[in-house]
Amino acid sequence: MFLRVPLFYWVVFFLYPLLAIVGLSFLSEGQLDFTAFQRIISRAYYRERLLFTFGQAALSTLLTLLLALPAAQVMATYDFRGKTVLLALATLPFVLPTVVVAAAFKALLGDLGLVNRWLMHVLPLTEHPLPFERSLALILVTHVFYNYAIALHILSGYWRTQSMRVEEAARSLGCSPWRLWLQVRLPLLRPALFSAAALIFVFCFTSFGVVLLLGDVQHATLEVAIYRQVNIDLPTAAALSLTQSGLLFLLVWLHSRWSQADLHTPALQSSTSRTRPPQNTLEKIWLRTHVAIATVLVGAPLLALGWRSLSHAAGPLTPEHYINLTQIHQGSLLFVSPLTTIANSLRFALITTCFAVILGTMAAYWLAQRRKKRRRFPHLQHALFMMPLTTSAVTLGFGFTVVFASASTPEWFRALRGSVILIPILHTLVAFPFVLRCVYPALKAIAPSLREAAATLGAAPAQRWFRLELPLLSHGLFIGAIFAFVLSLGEFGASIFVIRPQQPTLPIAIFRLLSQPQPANFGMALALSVILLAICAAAFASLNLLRNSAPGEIRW
Amino acid sequence: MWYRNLILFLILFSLVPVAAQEDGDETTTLTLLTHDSFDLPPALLAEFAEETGIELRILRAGDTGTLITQAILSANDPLGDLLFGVDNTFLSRALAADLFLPYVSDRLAEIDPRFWLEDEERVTPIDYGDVCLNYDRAYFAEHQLAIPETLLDLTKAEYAGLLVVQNPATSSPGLAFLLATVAVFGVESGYNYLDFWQDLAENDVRITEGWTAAYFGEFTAGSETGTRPLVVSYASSPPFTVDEETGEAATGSIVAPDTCFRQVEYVGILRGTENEVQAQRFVDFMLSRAFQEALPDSMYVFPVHPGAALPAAFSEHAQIPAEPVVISAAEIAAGRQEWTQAWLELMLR
Amino acid sequence: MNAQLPAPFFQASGIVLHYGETVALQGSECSLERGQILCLLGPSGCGKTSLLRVIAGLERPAAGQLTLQGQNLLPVPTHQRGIGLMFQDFALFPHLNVAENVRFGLKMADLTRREQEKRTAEALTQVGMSAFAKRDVAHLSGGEKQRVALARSLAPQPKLLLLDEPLGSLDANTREQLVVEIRHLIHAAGLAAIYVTHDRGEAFAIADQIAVMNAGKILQTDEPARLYRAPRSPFVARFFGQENILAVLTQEGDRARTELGTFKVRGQPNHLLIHTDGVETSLIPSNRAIAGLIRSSTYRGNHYELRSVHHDTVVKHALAAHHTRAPQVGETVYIRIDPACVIPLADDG
Repeated sequence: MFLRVPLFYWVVFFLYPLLAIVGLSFLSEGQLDFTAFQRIISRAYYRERLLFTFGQAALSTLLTLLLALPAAQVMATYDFRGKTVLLALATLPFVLPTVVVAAAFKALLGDLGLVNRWLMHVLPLTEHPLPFERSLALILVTHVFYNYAIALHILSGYWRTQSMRVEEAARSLGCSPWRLWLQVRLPLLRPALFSAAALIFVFCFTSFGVVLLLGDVQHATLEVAIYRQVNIDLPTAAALSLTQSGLLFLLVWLHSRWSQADLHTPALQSSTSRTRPPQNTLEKIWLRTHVAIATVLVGAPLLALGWRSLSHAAGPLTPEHYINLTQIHQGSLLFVSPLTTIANSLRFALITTCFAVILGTMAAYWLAQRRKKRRRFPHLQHALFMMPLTTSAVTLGFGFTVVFASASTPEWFRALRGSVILIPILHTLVAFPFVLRCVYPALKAIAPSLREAAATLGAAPAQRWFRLELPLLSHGLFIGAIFAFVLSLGEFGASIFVIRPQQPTLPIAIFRLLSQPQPANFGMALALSVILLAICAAAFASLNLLRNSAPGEIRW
Repeated sequence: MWYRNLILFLILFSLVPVAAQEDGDETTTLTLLTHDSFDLPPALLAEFAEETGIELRILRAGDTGTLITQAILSANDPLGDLLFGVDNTFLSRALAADLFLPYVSDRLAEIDPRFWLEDEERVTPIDYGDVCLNYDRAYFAEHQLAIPETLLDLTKAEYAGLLVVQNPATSSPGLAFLLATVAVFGVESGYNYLDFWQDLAENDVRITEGWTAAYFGEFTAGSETGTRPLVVSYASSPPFTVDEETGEAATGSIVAPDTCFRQVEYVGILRGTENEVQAQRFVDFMLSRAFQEALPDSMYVFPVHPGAALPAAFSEHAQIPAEPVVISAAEIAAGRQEWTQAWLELMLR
Repeated sequence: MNAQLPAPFFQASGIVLHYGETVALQGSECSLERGQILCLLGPSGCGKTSLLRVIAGLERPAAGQLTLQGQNLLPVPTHQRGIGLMFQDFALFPHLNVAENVRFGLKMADLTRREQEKRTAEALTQVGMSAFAKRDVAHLSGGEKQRVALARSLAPQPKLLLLDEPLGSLDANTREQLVVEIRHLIHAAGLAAIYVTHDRGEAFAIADQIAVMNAGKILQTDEPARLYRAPRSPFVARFFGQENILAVLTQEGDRARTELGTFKVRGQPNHLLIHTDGVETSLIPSNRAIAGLIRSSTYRGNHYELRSVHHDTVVKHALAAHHTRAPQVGETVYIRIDPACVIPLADDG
C-alpha cells in the first residue's frame, strides 16, 4: 500500500492534468465541443506552426548529422591527443539548461554579442554587422550545438562495432573515397543514423526555451504557440497541446521501434582495436578540421558567455554584472535581487531531489515487488512512470495551469497554487522517473540470498535495509539524485507556467532578463547563466568522484 | 554513510516550508502586484510608510496580459493585496474573474469625472495615457519623410519597414493599438482591421512581445541598435527624450484624430487579502496629490487628479490627443479575445 | 513416553510447506544432537533446501514444529534465531571487503569493537584467509569465497549452522579438500550443523548422520555406513548406486522366491536388494554359481563394472581388475550371492 504512493502521485499530478487538457479540448460546459479543434484545423496559422515545428526540427536534424557524421568517423577511426577531453567537452551541452545555452548564443552571435562587438570595434562600424539575433539561423545553430554530442556518441559508438575489414575489402575492390562513404559507410551506419535522427528530431520538435528566447515572434513551434495561446484562450491552447502531445508520442514510439529493431541486430564485430593515428597529410587535415569544428561549436558559445558576462563591449574585464546581481534596483525587472533566485532554485532543486529520491525508490520497490509476484503488465507500469519524460515540459506546465483554472478542481489541489512545493512537485514528475531508472536495475541486481544472509547473521529488517540494501542502491540513488537536482535547476518550460512571480527560479530570471533589450539586463542574464552553468557542472563533476570509488558489484 | 545524508536532506526539506513562511507577510507589509513598467520614487513609498506604518512590497509579474493571467490563475490564494495596472483593455477579463473587493475611496470625488466607472465599485482609476504612435524626429528630418497622419498611412510604401508594434496577447499598449485599429477599420466592413493588419505585415511591421523590447530594443530613438523610427508608445513618452542642452525632444507623438487609444489604469484590492483596511489606505494614497504628481515622471502617464501639477517637460512636450478612439468597455469585453486570436493567427505567421 | 527421553538438541517434526500449488515439504522430520553433523541428502528438488530455509526462518511452514534446546523456534524471526546459514552462492556482501563481511554478524550482535575485531581475526585465521582481510570480495576465487562465507557464518558462533550445498559451485579437487576441512572446523567449534548436498560422496565424508530425502519427505536417517549397507527402501538403495533390486515373487515362511533364486528373509518384504558388494564374480564356472551373459563392461580403475543377464534379470556387479583379463561383452560370467548381503526392502514412502 505504502509503495503505491508513486502511483498515486503519477495519477494526481500527471494523469489528472493531462485529462484536464483533454477535457478542455473537447468539452465546453459539459457538452462535446469541437470548436477548438475546428479552429486549429481551419486556420492557416496553426498549420504553419506545425510546418514550422517539423521544418526546423528536420533542418536541425539534418545539419547536426551533416556535421556529426564525419566527426564520428574521425572519432571512431583515429587516435589523437586530447580525444578524451574533446569527447567530454562535447558531452557538456547535453546537460546544460536551455536558458544557459540561449544566453551563450546571444552572448556569441547576438546584436550585443561578442562577434558583433568585436567586428564593430575592429572594422570599425556603428551598427552590428551580423543580423543573427532573432533569426532562424540562430535557432538552428543552437539546436546543432545541443544535439551534436548525441549524434557523435550514437554514430561513433556504432561505428566502432563495424569491422574495419569491410572498408578495407571495399578499397581493395577499387572503391574511391566518395563511393566508400556512399556505398559502404552510410548503408552500414543506417540503423545508427535513423536512431540518432529520430532522437534529435524529437528533441528539436519539443524545443521551447531556445525558440522563445532566440527566435522572432514569428518563429513559434507548437510549444511556443501553446505558451502564447494561454494568455488568450485556454481551450485552443488545450487543443494545441493535445495535438502536440499526440504527435510527440507518435515520434517517440517510432524512435523506440527503430532503435529496437535495428540497433540491436548484431553488427559485425571487429576483433582488433581499430583506432590508429592519422597516416598521411590528407588524413591529418581531415582530422584537424573536424576537431576544430567540434571545439569551436562547443567551446565558442561557452567562452563567449563567460567573457561577455565579464565585459561591457570590447573593453576591459569587469565584475560589474555580477555585482549588479546583488542589488534590487527600484526600477529593476525582478521583484527580488537576482541572487535570491539562486537561493530559490537551489531550494526547489533540493526539495525536488528529496521527492524524486523517495518516490523513485518507492516506485522501484513497487515494481520489483510486482515483478516478483508475477503480476500482469510490469512493463506497462514501468512505461507509465516514464511517460512524464516523453511529455513535453510545456504540456506538463500547461496541464497544471488548466487544473488551477478549472472550477471543478478540488480545493486542496488549488491550495498548491500558493505553496512553495508546487514547483518541486512539477519538477519531480520529470525527475523521479530518472531516479527510478537509476535505482531499479540496482535493486533487481540484489540477490535475494544477500538479504537472507544478512537475516541469518542477525540483522533485523531495518538493519538489513540500512546496512545492505541502501549501500547497494546508493550508487544508483546518488546518480539519480544528481540528475534530479540538475533537472530541477535547469527546468524552464514547465516552470514558466506556474511560477510565482515573487519566487522566480534562476532560469526564469535569466529568461526575463534576456527578454529585455537593455545592456545591463543582458549582462546580468549572462552572469546568472554563468552561475547556473557552474552549479550544474559542479553537480555533474561530483559523479566522477563516485566513479573512482569502490562501488562493489553495482556499476552504472 | 550515505543514509546520514538522506536524513540530512529530510531535515533540510522539512525546514524549508517553515523558512519560506517566515519571509511571508508581516501585518504591516502590503504587497502590490503590478506589471513590469511600474515604477515609483522610493521617497514617496518611504513617506507612505512613515505616515501609516505600512511597508509596500512591489511584485512585478510581467506584461499586463501576463499579470492578469497570473492574478486569475491564483485567484484563490492571491499573490498580493492589491493589483495595480489593469487597464480598460483588460478590465473586463479581471472583472469577469471577480478578482477584486469593492471599495469606493472618499478621494474619488476629487478626480476628473470622465474616469468614473458607472456601477462599478471594484476598481479605482489612477492614471491614464494615450497609446499613440511615436516617431524619431531626427530620422524623419534626415530622410525628409512626412509624419503619417492616419493609421492607413502606415501601409504606404514610404513607411515600409519603419514601424514596430507589440503583441496584443502579452502587451497592454499592443492591445490598445489593436483596439484602435478595430475601432477605426471595423470588423465587418469592406476593409476591416484584419485587412489593415495584413497590409501592415506586407509593409514589414516588426512585432515584439512587450513595450520595453519595442521602445528600448527596436525604436531608433530609444535604442542604440534600433532600426525602427516609428513605435507604438504613449503620448506621454516624448518628454522623456528631451535633450537637456537644446530643450528639444528627440521624439514626437502622433495625436491626429483616430490614431490614439486612451488607456485608463485601475487599482483593485485583491479578493482574499488579509489586509483589506491597509490596502484601502494605499488606494487613498494613490489618489493623493503627492502620488498623482509623481506619476508622469515615473511611469510616463497622466494623473487622473485634475489638480495634480504636471512636470514642466510634460506640459511642454506631451501632447494630449483631442479625439482619441472611442470603444466601449462592453464592446472590448465581447470582442477582445476573438480580435486578439484573429490578430495572432494573422500576424505571427 | 517422549517426556521420559531427554529432548534432542534440535528437532524438526511434521514440517509442511507449500509454494502456491506445489507441495515442497510434506511432514519432514529430523533431529540432531550438539556436536553432530546431519547431512540432508537427496536429488535436486526433493525439498532439502526448503527444509533448511524453514529451519532458518526464511520460509514459514504451513504445519509442523521446530525446537532448538527445547525452545519453540517458529515464532522467532530469522535474525533472532541464532542459526547460521551458508548459501550455495555464498551471498557475500559486494559492498564490504572480506573482513567486513565476516564482521557483519558480530556487528549485528552488538559486540564491542574489540571483541568484533578479535573474533573476525580468529574466524579468518581458522579458514586460512587472514591475508585476504582487506580484499574486495568480487576479486576472490570460488574456494576463497567459500572460506570467507564459512568464516562469516562461524564468527557469530551460531547454535546451529546450516550449510546449503556449500561446495556446489566448486571444482571436484577443491571440493574434496574443503569437505574435510569443513568437518574439522565444525567439530572443532563443537557446533551442531545441518549440511545439504546431493552428492553422496560428500555426505559420507562429512556426516555423522545422513537423512535421505525425496519428494518432501525424509525416507531414512542413519549413520553413513549403515545407510549404505542397509538401505530400507528401493529409493534409498538406488540413490546409493544399488541396482540389483528384485521383486519377491512368492514367500513361504522366511523363504522368499525371486527370479535369481530363493533367499532367507526376515519379515514380509516386497523387494530384496542384492548388494553389489555381496555378489562374487568369476569368469570361471564354479559350484552353485549362476551363469549369465555379459551385457556391458565398464573399466573403473580398480575394477570392471559389469552388467550381466541371469534368468532374464540384469545384475550389476564388480570384477576386481588386478588379476584378470578384460571381460568381453557376450562372454559368460558366473556369480555367487552372499546371503548376508541380501537385504529386505520395504516399499517407498
